[in-house]
Amino acid sequence: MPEDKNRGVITLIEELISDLKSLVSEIEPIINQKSTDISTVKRHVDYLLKKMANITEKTNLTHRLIQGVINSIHSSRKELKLSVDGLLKKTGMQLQKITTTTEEATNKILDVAEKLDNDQNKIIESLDELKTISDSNIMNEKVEEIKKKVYVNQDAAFTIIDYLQFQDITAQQIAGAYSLLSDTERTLLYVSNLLKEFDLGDNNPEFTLPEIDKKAFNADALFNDKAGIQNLIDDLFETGNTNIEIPNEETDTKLKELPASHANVNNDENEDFDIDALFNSNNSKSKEEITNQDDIDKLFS
Amino acid sequence: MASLKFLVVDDSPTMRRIVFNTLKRLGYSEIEEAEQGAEALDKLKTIPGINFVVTDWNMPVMDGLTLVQEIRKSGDFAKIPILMVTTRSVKDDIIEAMKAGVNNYIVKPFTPEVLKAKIDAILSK
Repeated sequence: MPEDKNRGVITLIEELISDLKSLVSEIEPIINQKSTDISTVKRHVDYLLKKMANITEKTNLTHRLIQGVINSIHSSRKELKLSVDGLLKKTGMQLQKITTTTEEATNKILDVAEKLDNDQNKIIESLDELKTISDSNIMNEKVEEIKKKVYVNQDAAFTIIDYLQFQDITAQQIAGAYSLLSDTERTLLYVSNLLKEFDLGDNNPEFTLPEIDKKAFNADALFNDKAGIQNLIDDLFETGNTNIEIPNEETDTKLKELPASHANVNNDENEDFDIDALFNSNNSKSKEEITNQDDIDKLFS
Repeated sequence: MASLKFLVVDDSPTMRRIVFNTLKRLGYSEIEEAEQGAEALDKLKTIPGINFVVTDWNMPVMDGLTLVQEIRKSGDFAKIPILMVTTRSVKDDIIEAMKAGVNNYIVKPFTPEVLKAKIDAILSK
């Protein structure tokens, strides 16, 4: 009965019940017949045996289908649990990273905006002072002073532009989270496919997963100070020494908490920023290696 | 300085705008833009005078690494300076970019000072 393979377990069981009912309804009048004609009885029995053989075959097929599904679920249950758990955990971590990045960047931008606001007030005060100055020399000095403050504010405004790079970074982190969710969906679809034998007839819904271009984003993108890592990359490019140790930001937890260093705000934080400590002795070790390194970068020649 | 004509390649419009503004602030005014590698190659072929490429790595269609490889294979602009500006900071990636032929490498987020230093370093060689 090859056509039965596409009918699903539930359909097969329903057919079996129906077949058995019809068999019973056919047996009943035969039993109730008072006929002693052996050939008639034999004909009836042959007919019933044929029908029962068909039911047995259908029962065996149902059994095989259910056994197959149970075996599949049993063999992959542990793996699936680990896979879905892992994917969901990673997605959660990725979303947490986005929250942290957004918060850090927003705070940095707010710091600069607050500083700008304060400085603007100082400029207004200085302009008011100008009104009271009659000496042209003092006035010129004051104007120069105000101009300097304006330039500083211009720099601060540009620092905000720098910090807005967080948008690109969170966009990549979000793309990473979306990709993980898609992987989770793929895994769940696999589970769903294991149970497809229990679907009714042709009502199996078609699932299509969106295509994700994984080269279009870096899920590991981090919004933190890159001064330390940039120095090491510079060393790598200047010397061509590929033995230089570059810490992996994803695995080096020390790097995750780097304070800001490239704004003129929060300078107190920057004073505590000891890049050598953060990188242990890797930086100095690398420099030793560079001086002893015979292999000059041939890649750039 | 005025003779430099940049091609900024990044799929993020925000990043293109940031790089554009930073280059303007550094004194460069001729700046073209492309969303991904294939478009960048097209612009290199069709827009005359582009002599410096600043490219991201992670982009759809054609990524930055492939773009670098394609440029280095090309006849007309194989020697154009290329600066990669990316979030990728894993050592193997950086070495891969070096081997592909980038002249220098910046990890995002970057500062205008870093961008200027890298442009100057490339031009001085």
